[in-house]
Formats: sequence, structure tokens, C-alpha cells
Amino acid sequence: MPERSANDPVPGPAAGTPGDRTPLSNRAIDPEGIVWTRVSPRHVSVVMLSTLFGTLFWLAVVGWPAVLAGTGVWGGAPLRWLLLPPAAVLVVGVVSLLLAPRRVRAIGYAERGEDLLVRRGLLYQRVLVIPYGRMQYVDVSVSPLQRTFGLATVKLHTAAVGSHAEIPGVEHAEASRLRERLTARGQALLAGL
Amino acid sequence: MSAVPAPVPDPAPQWHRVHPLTPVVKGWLAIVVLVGGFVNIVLDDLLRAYLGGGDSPAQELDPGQVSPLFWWALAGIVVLVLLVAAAVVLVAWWFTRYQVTPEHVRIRSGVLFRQERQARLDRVQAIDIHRPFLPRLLGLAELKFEVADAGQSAVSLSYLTHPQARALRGELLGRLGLAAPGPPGAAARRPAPWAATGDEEHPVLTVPVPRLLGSVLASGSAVVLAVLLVAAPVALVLDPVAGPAVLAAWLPGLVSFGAVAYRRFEQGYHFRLLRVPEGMRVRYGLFSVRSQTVPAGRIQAVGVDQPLLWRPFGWYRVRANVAGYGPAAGEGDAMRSTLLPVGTLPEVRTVLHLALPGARDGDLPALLGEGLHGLGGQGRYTTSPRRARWLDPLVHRRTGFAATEDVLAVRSGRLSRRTDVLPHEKTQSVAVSQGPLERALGLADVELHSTPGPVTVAVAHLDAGDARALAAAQTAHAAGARRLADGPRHPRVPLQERA
Repeated sequence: MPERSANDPVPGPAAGTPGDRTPLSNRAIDPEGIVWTRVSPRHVSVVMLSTLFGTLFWLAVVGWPAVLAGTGVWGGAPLRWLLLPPAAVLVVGVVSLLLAPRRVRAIGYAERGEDLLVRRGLLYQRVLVIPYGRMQYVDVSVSPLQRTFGLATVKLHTAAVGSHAEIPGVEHAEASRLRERLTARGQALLAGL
Repeated sequence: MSAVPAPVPDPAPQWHRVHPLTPVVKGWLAIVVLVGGFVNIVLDDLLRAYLGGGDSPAQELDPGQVSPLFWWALAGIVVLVLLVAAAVVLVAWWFTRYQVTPEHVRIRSGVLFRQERQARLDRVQAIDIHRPFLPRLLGLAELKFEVADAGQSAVSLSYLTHPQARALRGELLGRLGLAAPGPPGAAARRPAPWAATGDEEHPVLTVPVPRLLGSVLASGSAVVLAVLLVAAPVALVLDPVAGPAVLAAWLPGLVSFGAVAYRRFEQGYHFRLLRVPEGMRVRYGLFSVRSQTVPAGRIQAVGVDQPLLWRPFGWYRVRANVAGYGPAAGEGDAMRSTLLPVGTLPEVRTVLHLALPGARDGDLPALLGEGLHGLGGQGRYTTSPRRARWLDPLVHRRTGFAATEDVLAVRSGRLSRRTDVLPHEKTQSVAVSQGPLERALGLADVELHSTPGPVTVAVAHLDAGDARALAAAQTAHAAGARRLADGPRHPRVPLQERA
């Protein structure tokens, strides 16, 4: 069988910002003719800030022995080894920070006639298709950080565990529009179990 | 149950109490512990008094020297404690009442903290009868109402006499069965998922005890157990010093593996599958007999698997995701979603036929056979391409899928084989995913989501084009099947049409 051109990089269609080279669509796993809607660019700030806070928190959690050893309070401690865990946290944090914009640009959703598609992931990409009729309920949640940026998270729940889809970083107006539309479509196509 | 659909039976349904022996059954453990503890303390002191002369407490408690008043006081305390316990239990029993209305089943309990729990009958997914050991000795049974809210079991009436429980279940099944077609005015009322017109049972199959025993012996935990048991004397002989310590370290493992094997035997004992109008009923257990009705329409996915050691015997296990049962909370719960603990291929076919009444037969047996034994992509199954061997050298020739008009079959596993069958109309959602290595090889994974349960339907390392086609076909199938299956307000396929 000839190899498909599946792995050729495909530039993101319409929805991407100009000059954005992050492939939003992956022809290999996307359904035909799909146009993805990206989440708000402000979501990058939310992700970066929460990564920052998370990294600082974990630095404090794993870094205090190194601080004790470095300031001489804990004499004779193997400072070199104690520095390893905070260094690892720092590396992970910095990488996450650097990747955050691309990760956010890799999140997309699309509404079709009968189902909603949600995709995410840069390295490990995943496209989830949820028929409207299968939705049990739709959640819109806003964290304090998201509120500052006027964003919200839309969550869809079905009776299955694997298909709880999350669209983070949606602007408030869009979030309520999505919720209303999903609920309406869900009722029209209700399938239960 | 008359043929005339009676309008709402009694306007003010009565509150009933559960069986008077309930507190005894529920409290027996506490009573045993209490009495045992007391006896233990007294015996201990008496023994010490007789045996050890030197201990000071022993001297104080020498029965010859203690005044009779002490013994009276002791007896008084015992009686008092028992009386108080009995009073508490009796009061609790007195205030526990249940009520079955045409729409709800309610339980009220508690004296200080009153609690009322109710389940809407049309949301009840199943009514199961449980008979734990002690209640069974006393002729009692527990009636459990499962609702769709997965996880916690909804309402349970414990305990009723067994005939009472059966009668109540029969009556409820019947009542809702009659109410289901309903006058046009009551059109909004959905028939209960398990609604049926009767309670007649037709035995379908029984798992013979020797086969069950064999299946337990040929399981991984039994093998580990055997290895440990054989290794124990060897370790003792080889190293008399460290041996005992090693053995002591094994003990917990030994106990847990033994417990797993025992539980599988206890729960699978005398497993019977019966056909009832609303679907299937299974009954199983050695000491605790459980009986549960699995309405066919509630089965979301069926998985057939064969552990490696069962292969010489041609045995298979059938499990299902049942809506409302939720994920099995533990090993003790695992039997709930088992439709056949161990059976032969013809039995598996029978069970599959009953479990998926919507699947027109035709291809299914062949698909099942190929799903369990097939290798490579020559047959009906679309398998991983050859280049998937870099990621999955052993299994890539087994992983594959095949679709009929009604179901999707997915096979996997080289050593321990399995085939999962998912009716199209039960697909909750579909996901396609691809990691970096898969991207390089042009492969992708497909997951088909079903309700929580033992069956996970997923195909790994398909050709990306196949994966995309499968996902597209499955979403279309699912939507199509939904349109067919749904009346405007009836989310379920009518059983009668499909039988």
C-alpha cells in the first residue's frame, strides 16, 4: 500500500492568525472538510500565568531543602543533589511556558450538523467527535484567572467517561452562545442511552 | 395486575416497615463483636487468675476472693449494654419505612437525623434481588433499585422476606409494564426501561461447577498462588535463616491472591442465565446469592475475552457495559457486569444474541469467531498495516475492526484475546488520536466511547486513512442508528420489534 501523504505538514486553514505556522489541522486524523475555530488568543496568557504559578508552587515544595542547605542552616547537606528536583521543575516549567502559545493554538473546535468536534494536542493530537444527541449536560465554568481575561471553559458531558470534552479559553459571549446552541441541538437530537 | 390499565392505584400509598429480623441481621456483627470482646476480657482475667500467681491484677481478680456483688454488677452491665443496643436497633427499625407509589420508591430512616431517599421508578434501570448469607438463612432478601446515575446504588429495601421481595419486584415490573403503553393523556410518561408484562423466566444456561473451578485454577492469580506455595518450602530449605522472613513478606500477596481466586469461585458458583421478557437475568453465588435483571436495551457494549490459560479448554468470558451500573468499584463488584463467567463458544454466541437483540444475526457469529481467533488482515477485519510492527511487534496483526450494519466488532490481544462488540446506536462519541511516532508512520488510534464498565472499545495503530474512515463511518452510523432508534420521545429501541 502506498504511504499516504498524511504526515505532510498542513498549514492551518482560515481560523489561524496570519503567519502562524502551528498546524491546527492534521489531515491524517481530521474529518474531511473541517474548519476549526481556535480559542481566544488571550487563553495563552491564562495558560502561561497558571503554568508560572504552578511552577513557583512546585519550586517551593521541592526547593526548600536546597534553600536550607544553601544558606548554611542545614550544614553538611549534599547541596548538589538537593538542587536536582527544583532544577527539573524549572526545566519542565520553562518548556511548558515556551510551548504554551503553540499548545493553545492547537486547541480547536468545530460545530457540524450533528456533532461537535474538539481537537487538541501538539505532539499527541486528538480529535474528539461528540454527537449532539449524546450530550448529557453542558457546563460553563470560569476560574478567577480566566475571569480577569474574560474567558470561560465549556465542558460537555456524555454518559461515557472518555468523552468528557473540554474547550478551555472561550470568550464569555462565545461560551454562552455555545452552551445555548449545544443545549438546543442536544434536545433536538436527544438520544439518551 | 388486571388487563385494564388502572389509573393511579392508591392515592395515599402506605408506608411499610421492613422485616422485623432486619436489625438482627444488620447488627449481628456488632453483637458478636460486643459479646466476644466482653467474654474475651473476662476469660482473660479468669485465666490469668488461675495460671499466673504473681501478677497483681490476677490477685485482685481471683474469683474466690471477689465478692458476689462484683459478678452481679458485671452481669448487670452486660444486660444493660445489650438492652441499650437492642433498643437503639429497634428504634432504628421502627423509624425505617418504605413506600412504593406509582411513581417513586421512597425510604425514610433515622430518628434524630431524618433521611429520605427516593428513586423515580421510570428512572430505575434495574431491580435486583440480593441474598447475602445470613439473611438467606433467615429467608430474607434485599431489593435493590439501580438508577441511571452511575456509581452509588440508589435505593435498597433491606430486608424483606424472599417471597415478598419477588412479589414486589413482579408487581412493579407488571405495573409499569401495563402503564407503559398508557392512555394518550399520559403520553409524556416514558415506559420504564425494564418495563415488562410478566416475570416469567426461561433458563438459558448454567455454568457447571467443575468448569468454574477449572477456570479459577487456570487464572493468573491461581498460578501465582501455586508458584508461591511451591516456592515456600524451597526457600525454607535453601536458606533456613532468611527463608521465614521471605515467607512472611509473601504472606500478604498469598492472602490477596487466594482471596481473589476464592471470590471468583464464590461469586461464579452456580451461575445461571435466564431469559426474561425484559432481557436477561443472571443469578449467582455460593453463600450470597445475587439475582439481577439486565434489560437488553441497557447493554451498551459487550466484550468477549479469553485469558491465555483458558485457550486449551476453549473457554471464554463475556462482560458488558450496562448503563447505570457504573465502573466496577472493586473486585467484589466485578460480577455485576459479567454475563458469562466462563463458557464455550456456542454459549458465548447465545449470550451475545440475547445481549444484542438489535444485531441481526447474519455476520455476527463469523465476526466473533474471526475476532477471537483471526490473525492478519485477510478476513473481514481491517487490521493495522505492516508498518505498525515497529510500534507493536506482537499484536499488530490482531488489532483490527469490522463493522456490520448494526454493530462494530473490535479485536485485540495476541496472548489473551478479546473481541468487543459495540452496537452503532450505543456509540457515545469517537476520538482519533495520533502521537509523534504514529505521525511519522502514518498511523492513528481510534477510541469509541461507551458508558463506564469493563469493556473499552479502542483500535490502536490503524492506518491513518483507515482510522479516519472508521471514525467518520462510526459517527455517521451512530447518527443514523440514533435517528432510526429514536421516536420523538422514546430514546430506546422497542424490544418487541427487534426480538
